[in-house]
Amino acid sequence: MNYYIITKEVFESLSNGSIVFAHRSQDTNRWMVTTDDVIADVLVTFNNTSELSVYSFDNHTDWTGDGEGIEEWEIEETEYLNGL
Amino acid sequence: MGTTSKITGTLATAINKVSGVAISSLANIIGQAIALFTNANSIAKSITTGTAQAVYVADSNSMGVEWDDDDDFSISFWIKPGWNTSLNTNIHLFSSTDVGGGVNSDTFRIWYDDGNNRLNVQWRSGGTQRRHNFWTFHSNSGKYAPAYAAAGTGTTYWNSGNRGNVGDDDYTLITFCKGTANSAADSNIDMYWNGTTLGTSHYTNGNHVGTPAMGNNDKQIFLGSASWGSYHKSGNNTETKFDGVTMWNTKLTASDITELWNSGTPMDATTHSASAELKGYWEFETDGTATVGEDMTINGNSNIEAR
Repeated sequence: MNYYIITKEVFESLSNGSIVFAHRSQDTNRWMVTTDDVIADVLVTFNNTSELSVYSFDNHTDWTGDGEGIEEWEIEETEYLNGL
Repeated sequence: MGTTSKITGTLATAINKVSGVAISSLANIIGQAIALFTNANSIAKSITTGTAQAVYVADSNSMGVEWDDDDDFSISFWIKPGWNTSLNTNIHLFSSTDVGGGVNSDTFRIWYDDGNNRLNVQWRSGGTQRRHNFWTFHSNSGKYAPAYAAAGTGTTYWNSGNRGNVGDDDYTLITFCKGTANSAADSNIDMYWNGTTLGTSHYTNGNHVGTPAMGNNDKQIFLGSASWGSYHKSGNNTETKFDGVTMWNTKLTASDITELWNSGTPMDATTHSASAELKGYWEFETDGTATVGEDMTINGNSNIEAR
């Protein structure tokens, strides 16, 4: 699995079927994604779910509205479904 | 403390539990303000979201809600969302775990995923032992159309500015019902919005990982926050309010839900036709306008310790 932060434009260019988890930023301009695909044009790359989660807590104002980040279980268990 | 100062000769201030007592025997304290049942974590109906508050009820006395994966049960609550469109994460509406436990300690939970507009339900006993399903409200097509119609929130996500179909005072009645199977398939579970079923879930056969093997330990129950860790995932913006939380030792039927919905007016659940199966009932006071620190009246066929 690969763990990225990418721009909205890159996100919209991805094949929906390749995205496992996706979470948009508060300003809607960036996305956190996990995917089996390798994406070249990324903003940040993480090694695992834990790193992605920690980043979201450290930068929570950019990613959530409740003063906290995204927990590991949320990343691992929230299935991305285009339109749902 | 209202007009009740003693219960069977004991100073009310010395009582921290009401256990093993039929509700009929408690009639003389129903409706009275019992300050003892109040502390910073016990909030009458109203949770100031975003500040890590929750209603917390500890079951230290086997009150009859220590359900496991093969028990049938139902949980219902009235809710008035306070979160807004900027939440963009999960808010736990109801959750229970073993007292002092973590996320995998026989957890049952109902949570709303604001990032995806999904109402989720899950029970689990480990990271890879879980049952999960969800309903979504913004797609008016195919199997999602009943939930779209029941919620009435349209294509916009559920929040304080878009509460959809509501009852009195803009509250919505959410009810989850589970059968005896250890399965989150539609054949075993139902979710209702007010008096209407949300219909087919996303995972028709359930989203199953491993096999949960839950115990029947005493539970800690939270409204508005996760029941593990320290009060978090409480939402944002203004208060989310709760009313009339009921826990039933049976899978309620559609007609039971219609009766509980009562055309949008919270009823006295002790008079419900299925009240023999009512194991937990918290009827918070003052119709949602209560503030932190206001008393919580405990009602129903429960042996509970509220703190």
